Amino acid sequence: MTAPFDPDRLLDVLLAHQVEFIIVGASAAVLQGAPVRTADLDIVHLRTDVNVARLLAALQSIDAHARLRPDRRIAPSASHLLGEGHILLSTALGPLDVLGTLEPGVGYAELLPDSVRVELDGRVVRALSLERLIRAKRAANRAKDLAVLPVLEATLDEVRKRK
Amino acid sequence: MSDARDGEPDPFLENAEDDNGVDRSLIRWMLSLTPRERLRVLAAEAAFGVNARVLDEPDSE
Repeated sequence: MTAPFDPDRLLDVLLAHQVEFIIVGASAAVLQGAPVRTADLDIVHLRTDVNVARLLAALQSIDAHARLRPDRRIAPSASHLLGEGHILLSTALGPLDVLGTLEPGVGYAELLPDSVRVELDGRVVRALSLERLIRAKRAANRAKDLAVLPVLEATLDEVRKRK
Repeated sequence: MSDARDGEPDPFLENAEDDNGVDRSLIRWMLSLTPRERLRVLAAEAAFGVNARVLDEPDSE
């Protein structure tokens, strides 16, 4: 049985372990007001030894293991998290995708200028901006990414109207 | 019977969708929530999807 998706508590765990990360994907869009759906949390993390150690501790606390091999319950290692790949995990708080890079060569440091601060009851997380999310979806050029573009663009338009 | 005032569009008949078919009223509603509330909406929708799949399994009653 898959654990229910609880993005709120997933973020709390990452913050409690002082992990530096940027939320990307549909969850980032939701945080900024887009009415889109997803069943996982995608993050791009800072790939330094210190941050990876914090992330590893956070993942251990929520029993993270490889989502594609649930029968073997393979836990991620520091070497996995230091790489550029996409680590797809099942956790006690639902699916979590830990991405070394969003696109080839585009990791935490490259995305940071395109991220926005989002306050969650006094705690701050970083999410990829709607503008950058739209660019990423366009570049990906897959049917599932293109399908969500009108909603992201309309959300960006509504956000701008409010400023 | 409509309760709309003269000259104003009826709020129940007004089209909320833009030219791309996106319901702008849903976006405005999401923007009225706090980020944490938006996450809770996301979690609730995901839970609904899981529950619907469980109900769809052959041995569930």
